[in-house]
Amino acid sequence: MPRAKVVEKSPLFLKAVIEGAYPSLVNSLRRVLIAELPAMAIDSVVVVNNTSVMYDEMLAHRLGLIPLTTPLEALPPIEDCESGLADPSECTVRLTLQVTAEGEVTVYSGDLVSERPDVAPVYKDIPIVKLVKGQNITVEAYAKLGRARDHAKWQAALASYYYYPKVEVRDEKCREKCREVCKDLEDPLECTFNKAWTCKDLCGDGLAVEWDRYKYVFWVESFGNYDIETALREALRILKKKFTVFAESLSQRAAALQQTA
Amino acid sequence: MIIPVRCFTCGRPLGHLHSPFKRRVLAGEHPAQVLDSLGVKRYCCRRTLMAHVDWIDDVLLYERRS
Repeated sequence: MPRAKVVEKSPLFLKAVIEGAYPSLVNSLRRVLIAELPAMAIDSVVVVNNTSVMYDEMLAHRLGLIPLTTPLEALPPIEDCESGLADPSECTVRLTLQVTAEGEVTVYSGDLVSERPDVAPVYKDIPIVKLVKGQNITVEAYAKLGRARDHAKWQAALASYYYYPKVEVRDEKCREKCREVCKDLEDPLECTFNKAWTCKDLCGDGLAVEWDRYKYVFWVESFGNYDIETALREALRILKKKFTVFAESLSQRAAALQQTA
Repeated sequence: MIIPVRCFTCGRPLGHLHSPFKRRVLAGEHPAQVLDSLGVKRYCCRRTLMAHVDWIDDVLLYERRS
Protein backbone atom coordinates (compact mmCIF):
# COMPACT_ATOMS: atom_id res chain seq x y z
CA MET A 1 0.00 0.00 0.00
CA PRO A 2 1.56 3.34 -1.00
CA ARG A 3 2.18 5.82 1.78
CA ALA A 4 2.84 9.54 1.64
CA LYS A 5 4.33 11.81 4.25
CA VAL A 6 3.86 15.55 3.84
CA VAL A 7 7.06 17.50 4.42
CA GLU A 8 5.98 20.96 3.33
CA LYS A 9 2.54 22.41 2.81
CA SER A 10 1.01 25.78 2.05
CA PRO A 11 -2.29 26.60 0.31
CA LEU A 12 -0.54 26.57 -3.08
CA PHE A 13 2.34 24.16 -2.55
CA LEU A 14 2.82 20.64 -1.28
CA LYS A 15 5.90 18.47 -0.98
CA ALA A 16 5.63 14.88 0.15
CA VAL A 17 7.70 11.74 0.36
CA ILE A 18 5.84 8.91 -1.35
CA GLU A 19 6.76 5.35 -0.54
CA GLY A 20 5.71 1.99 -1.91
CA ALA A 21 4.25 3.07 -5.23
CA TYR A 22 5.30 2.11 -8.73
CA PRO A 23 6.87 4.88 -10.85
CA SER A 24 4.01 4.42 -13.31
CA LEU A 25 1.45 5.39 -10.68
CA VAL A 26 3.39 8.42 -9.45
CA ASN A 27 3.97 9.54 -13.02
CA SER A 28 0.29 9.15 -13.89
CA LEU A 29 -0.59 11.39 -10.98
CA ARG A 30 1.96 13.95 -12.14
CA ARG A 31 0.62 13.93 -15.67
CA VAL A 32 -2.99 14.25 -14.55
CA LEU A 33 -2.06 17.19 -12.30
CA ILE A 34 -0.32 18.98 -15.15
CA ALA A 35 -2.57 18.28 -18.10
CA GLU A 36 -6.00 17.06 -17.01
CA LEU A 37 -7.15 19.29 -14.18
CA PRO A 38 -10.19 21.40 -15.07
CA ALA A 39 -9.79 25.16 -14.78
CA MET A 40 -11.57 28.29 -15.95
CA ALA A 41 -9.90 30.43 -18.63
CA ILE A 42 -11.13 32.95 -21.16
CA ASP A 43 -11.63 31.08 -24.41
CA SER A 44 -13.66 33.35 -26.64
CA VAL A 45 -13.37 37.12 -26.94
CA VAL A 46 -15.65 39.56 -28.71
CA VAL A 47 -13.68 42.72 -29.37
CA VAL A 48 -16.21 45.53 -29.53
CA ASN A 49 -13.61 48.27 -29.64
CA ASN A 50 -9.85 48.25 -29.38
CA THR A 51 -7.84 51.36 -30.10
CA SER A 52 -4.90 50.30 -27.95
CA VAL A 53 -1.42 49.60 -29.34
CA MET A 54 -2.06 45.88 -29.02
CA TYR A 55 -3.57 43.78 -31.78
CA ASP A 56 -6.91 42.14 -30.96
CA GLU A 57 -5.27 38.70 -31.09
CA MET A 58 -2.59 39.69 -28.62
CA LEU A 59 -5.16 41.18 -26.28
CA ALA A 60 -7.30 38.04 -26.49
CA HIS A 61 -4.25 35.87 -25.87
CA ARG A 62 -3.29 37.82 -22.76
CA LEU A 63 -6.85 37.69 -21.47
CA GLY A 64 -6.86 33.93 -21.98
CA LEU A 65 -3.72 33.44 -19.92
CA ILE A 66 -5.11 35.21 -16.85
CA PRO A 67 -5.79 32.56 -14.19
CA LEU A 68 -9.40 32.58 -12.95
CA THR A 69 -10.66 31.18 -9.66
CA THR A 70 -12.45 27.92 -10.34
CA PRO A 71 -15.04 26.78 -7.78
CA LEU A 72 -15.13 23.10 -8.79
CA GLU A 73 -17.92 22.27 -6.34
CA ALA A 74 -20.19 24.90 -7.92
CA LEU A 75 -19.49 23.81 -11.49
CA PRO A 76 -20.51 20.63 -13.32
CA PRO A 77 -17.83 17.94 -13.65
CA ILE A 78 -15.48 18.57 -16.58
CA GLU A 79 -16.56 15.33 -18.27
CA ASP A 80 -20.14 16.58 -18.45
CA CYS A 81 -19.00 19.90 -19.91
CA GLU A 82 -17.02 18.09 -22.59
CA SER A 83 -19.69 15.54 -23.47
CA GLY A 84 -22.47 18.11 -23.54
CA LEU A 85 -24.35 16.40 -20.72
CA ALA A 86 -24.24 19.61 -18.71
CA ASP A 87 -25.86 22.79 -19.98
CA PRO A 88 -23.07 24.72 -21.76
CA SER A 89 -24.15 27.88 -19.97
CA GLU A 90 -23.19 26.25 -16.67
CA CYS A 91 -19.65 25.67 -17.91
CA THR A 92 -19.25 29.23 -19.23
CA VAL A 93 -18.87 32.57 -17.52
CA ARG A 94 -19.13 35.96 -19.16
CA LEU A 95 -16.64 38.69 -18.30
CA THR A 96 -16.50 42.23 -19.57
CA LEU A 97 -13.74 44.77 -19.76
CA GLN A 98 -14.32 48.37 -20.60
CA VAL A 99 -11.73 51.08 -20.15
CA THR A 100 -11.51 54.53 -21.66
CA ALA A 101 -8.27 56.23 -20.79
CA GLU A 102 -8.55 59.77 -19.42
CA GLY A 103 -4.81 59.88 -19.01
CA GLU A 104 -2.04 57.31 -18.98
CA VAL A 105 -3.44 54.14 -17.45
CA THR A 106 -2.52 50.52 -17.12
CA VAL A 107 -5.39 48.07 -17.55
CA TYR A 108 -5.16 45.32 -14.94
CA SER A 109 -6.79 41.92 -14.69
CA GLY A 110 -8.77 43.38 -11.76
CA ASP A 111 -10.62 45.62 -14.24
CA LEU A 112 -12.38 42.55 -15.65
CA VAL A 113 -15.98 42.44 -14.47
CA SER A 114 -17.30 38.93 -14.02
CA GLU A 115 -20.96 37.95 -14.00
CA ARG A 116 -20.16 35.39 -11.31
CA PRO A 117 -18.30 36.54 -8.21
CA ASP A 118 -16.80 33.09 -7.66
CA VAL A 119 -15.12 33.12 -11.09
CA ALA A 120 -12.74 36.09 -11.14
CA PRO A 121 -9.05 36.74 -11.77
CA VAL A 122 -6.87 35.16 -9.10
CA TYR A 123 -4.45 38.09 -9.15
CA LYS A 124 -5.98 41.54 -9.58
CA ASP A 125 -2.73 43.23 -10.58
CA ILE A 126 -1.66 41.46 -13.76
CA PRO A 127 -1.08 44.19 -16.37
CA ILE A 128 -3.01 43.53 -19.59
CA VAL A 129 -2.17 46.62 -21.62
CA LYS A 130 -1.15 50.26 -21.19
CA LEU A 131 -3.25 53.03 -22.66
CA VAL A 132 -2.71 56.73 -23.34
CA LYS A 133 -5.35 59.45 -23.25
CA GLY A 134 -8.22 58.80 -25.65
CA GLN A 135 -7.61 55.10 -26.20
CA ASN A 136 -10.37 52.65 -25.44
CA ILE A 137 -10.88 48.94 -25.11
CA THR A 138 -14.32 47.37 -24.87
CA VAL A 139 -14.29 43.63 -24.73
CA GLU A 140 -16.69 40.83 -23.98
CA ALA A 141 -15.00 37.59 -22.96
CA TYR A 142 -16.31 34.12 -22.31
CA ALA A 143 -14.45 31.85 -19.92
CA LYS A 144 -14.84 28.11 -20.32
CA LEU A 145 -13.99 25.11 -18.21
CA GLY A 146 -11.13 23.33 -19.92
CA ARG A 147 -8.02 21.23 -19.50
CA ALA A 148 -4.34 22.01 -20.03
CA ARG A 149 -3.97 19.26 -22.64
CA ASP A 150 -5.96 21.54 -24.96
CA HIS A 151 -4.14 24.77 -24.12
CA ALA A 152 -1.64 25.84 -21.46
CA LYS A 153 -3.96 28.63 -20.29
CA TRP A 154 -6.07 25.95 -18.59
CA GLN A 155 -3.10 24.66 -16.63
CA ALA A 156 -3.96 24.70 -12.94
CA ALA A 157 -0.92 23.03 -11.42
CA LEU A 158 2.59 21.82 -11.94
CA ALA A 159 4.02 18.66 -10.39
CA SER A 160 7.28 16.80 -10.43
CA TYR A 161 9.14 14.14 -8.50
CA TYR A 162 12.55 12.56 -8.12
CA TYR A 163 13.84 9.34 -6.62
CA TYR A 164 14.61 9.51 -2.93
CA PRO A 165 18.40 9.35 -2.94
CA LYS A 166 20.41 7.06 -0.67
CA VAL A 167 23.71 8.79 -0.14
CA GLU A 168 26.71 7.24 1.57
CA VAL A 169 29.69 9.48 2.22
CA ARG A 170 32.83 7.33 2.12
CA ASP A 171 35.32 10.15 1.96
CA GLU A 172 34.71 13.08 4.30
CA LYS A 173 36.56 15.41 1.92
CA CYS A 174 33.60 14.93 -0.40
CA ARG A 175 31.36 17.18 1.68
CA GLU A 176 33.66 20.13 1.14
CA LYS A 177 34.13 19.33 -2.56
CA CYS A 178 30.46 19.62 -3.37
CA ARG A 179 29.52 22.32 -0.88
CA GLU A 180 28.57 24.53 -3.80
CA VAL A 181 26.04 21.99 -5.07
CA CYS A 182 24.66 20.70 -1.77
CA LYS A 183 24.83 22.18 1.69
CA ASP A 184 23.92 18.91 3.33
CA LEU A 185 24.54 15.75 1.32
CA GLU A 186 22.41 13.62 3.61
CA ASP A 187 19.29 15.77 3.37
CA PRO A 188 17.33 14.37 0.37
CA LEU A 189 14.96 17.34 0.41
CA GLU A 190 17.70 19.93 0.01
CA CYS A 191 20.13 17.71 -1.87
CA THR A 192 17.93 16.32 -4.65
CA PHE A 193 18.82 13.13 -6.49
CA ASN A 194 20.32 15.03 -9.39
CA LYS A 195 22.38 17.24 -7.11
CA ALA A 196 23.69 14.18 -5.27
CA TRP A 197 24.58 12.63 -8.62
CA THR A 198 26.45 15.80 -9.62
CA CYS A 199 28.41 15.51 -6.38
CA LYS A 200 29.24 11.92 -7.26
CA ASP A 201 30.69 13.14 -10.51
CA LEU A 202 32.78 15.62 -8.54
CA CYS A 203 34.32 13.17 -6.08
CA GLY A 204 34.01 9.75 -7.71
CA ASP A 205 34.40 6.81 -5.36
CA GLY A 206 34.30 9.02 -2.29
CA LEU A 207 30.53 9.07 -2.57
CA ALA A 208 27.99 6.35 -3.25
CA VAL A 209 24.61 7.44 -4.57
CA GLU A 210 21.84 4.88 -4.81
CA TRP A 211 18.11 5.20 -5.04
CA ASP A 212 15.09 3.36 -3.83
CA ARG A 213 12.90 2.20 -6.72
CA TYR A 214 9.69 2.80 -4.83
CA LYS A 215 10.40 5.97 -2.89
CA TYR A 216 10.10 9.50 -4.25
CA VAL A 217 10.06 13.13 -3.29
CA PHE A 218 6.97 14.55 -4.97
CA TRP A 219 5.92 18.18 -5.17
CA VAL A 220 2.85 19.95 -6.53
CA GLU A 221 2.35 23.63 -7.09
CA SER A 222 -1.05 25.14 -7.75
CA PHE A 223 -1.28 28.15 -10.05
CA GLY A 224 -3.98 29.70 -7.88
CA ASN A 225 -7.21 28.55 -9.56
CA TYR A 226 -7.91 26.51 -6.44
CA ASP A 227 -5.89 25.29 -3.48
CA ILE A 228 -3.59 22.30 -3.49
CA GLU A 229 -6.01 19.99 -1.69
CA THR A 230 -8.74 20.58 -4.25
CA ALA A 231 -6.22 20.03 -7.03
CA LEU A 232 -5.09 16.69 -5.61
CA ARG A 233 -8.62 15.52 -4.86
CA GLU A 234 -9.71 16.34 -8.41
CA ALA A 235 -6.60 14.75 -9.91
CA LEU A 236 -7.21 11.52 -8.02
CA ARG A 237 -10.86 11.54 -9.04
CA ILE A 238 -9.89 11.88 -12.71
CA LEU A 239 -7.17 9.24 -12.38
CA LYS A 240 -9.56 6.77 -10.73
CA LYS A 241 -12.09 7.39 -13.45
CA LYS A 242 -9.46 6.64 -16.09
CA PHE A 243 -8.61 3.36 -14.35
CA THR A 244 -12.28 2.39 -14.18
CA VAL A 245 -12.86 3.13 -17.85
CA PHE A 246 -9.73 1.16 -18.75
CA ALA A 247 -10.69 -1.86 -16.63
CA GLU A 248 -14.22 -1.84 -18.00
CA SER A 249 -13.19 -1.74 -21.64
CA LEU A 250 -10.62 -4.43 -20.96
CA SER A 251 -13.18 -6.81 -19.51
CA GLN A 252 -15.58 -6.02 -22.34
CA ARG A 253 -12.88 -6.90 -24.83
CA ALA A 254 -12.10 -10.11 -22.98
CA ALA A 255 -15.76 -11.08 -22.92
CA ALA A 256 -16.08 -10.42 -26.65
CA LEU A 257 -13.00 -12.53 -27.36
CA GLN A 258 -14.35 -15.37 -25.26
CA GLN A 259 -17.60 -15.37 -27.21
CA THR A 260 -15.89 -15.63 -30.57
CA ALA A 261 -13.52 -18.38 -29.41
CA MET B 1 6.18 44.46 -25.34
CA ILE B 2 4.59 44.12 -21.92
CA ILE B 3 5.33 41.60 -19.18
CA PRO B 4 4.11 38.07 -20.07
CA VAL B 5 1.11 36.93 -18.03
CA ARG B 6 2.65 33.52 -17.42
CA CYS B 7 6.06 31.91 -17.60
CA PHE B 8 6.67 30.75 -21.18
CA THR B 9 7.95 27.38 -20.08
CA CYS B 10 6.05 26.21 -17.04
CA GLY B 11 2.93 28.37 -17.12
CA ARG B 12 3.22 29.86 -13.65
CA PRO B 13 1.42 33.25 -13.41
CA LEU B 14 4.07 35.97 -13.28
CA GLY B 15 2.50 39.18 -14.61
CA HIS B 16 1.64 40.50 -11.17
CA LEU B 17 5.24 40.12 -9.97
CA HIS B 18 6.88 42.40 -12.49
CA SER B 19 6.13 45.71 -10.83
CA PRO B 20 7.35 44.71 -7.32
CA PHE B 21 10.38 43.06 -8.93
CA LYS B 22 11.27 46.14 -10.92
CA ARG B 23 10.65 48.50 -8.03
CA ARG B 24 12.79 46.53 -5.59
CA VAL B 25 15.66 45.94 -8.01
CA LEU B 26 15.77 49.63 -8.90
CA ALA B 27 15.82 50.38 -5.17
CA GLY B 28 19.10 48.50 -4.98
CA GLU B 29 18.17 44.99 -3.86
CA HIS B 30 19.92 42.02 -5.44
CA PRO B 31 17.70 40.50 -8.17
CA ALA B 32 18.30 36.96 -6.89
CA GLN B 33 17.07 37.88 -3.43
CA VAL B 34 14.00 39.64 -4.81
CA LEU B 35 13.10 36.60 -6.92
CA ASP B 36 13.57 34.30 -3.93
CA SER B 37 11.34 36.41 -1.73
CA LEU B 38 8.68 36.60 -4.45
CA GLY B 39 8.65 32.80 -4.50
CA VAL B 40 9.98 32.52 -8.05
CA LYS B 41 11.99 29.33 -7.63
CA ARG B 42 12.44 27.74 -11.05
CA TYR B 43 14.99 29.13 -13.48
CA CYS B 44 12.45 29.25 -16.31
CA CYS B 45 10.30 31.72 -14.37
CA ARG B 46 13.37 33.64 -13.19
CA ARG B 47 14.62 34.22 -16.74
CA THR B 48 11.13 35.19 -17.93
CA LEU B 49 10.99 37.94 -15.30
CA MET B 50 14.62 39.00 -15.54
CA ALA B 51 15.06 38.97 -19.30
CA HIS B 52 11.89 40.90 -20.03
CA VAL B 53 12.25 44.32 -21.67
CA ASP B 54 9.23 46.59 -21.40
CA TRP B 55 8.82 48.09 -24.86
CA ILE B 56 5.23 49.28 -24.62
CA ASP B 57 6.15 52.79 -23.45
CA ASP B 58 8.26 53.25 -26.58
CA VAL B 59 5.29 52.31 -28.73
CA LEU B 60 2.94 54.55 -26.77
CA LEU B 61 5.20 57.49 -27.63
CA TYR B 62 3.68 57.50 -31.10
CA GLU B 63 0.13 57.36 -29.76
CA ARG B 64 0.27 60.52 -27.68
CA ARG B 65 -1.62 63.40 -29.18
CA SER B 66 -2.08 66.75 -27.49
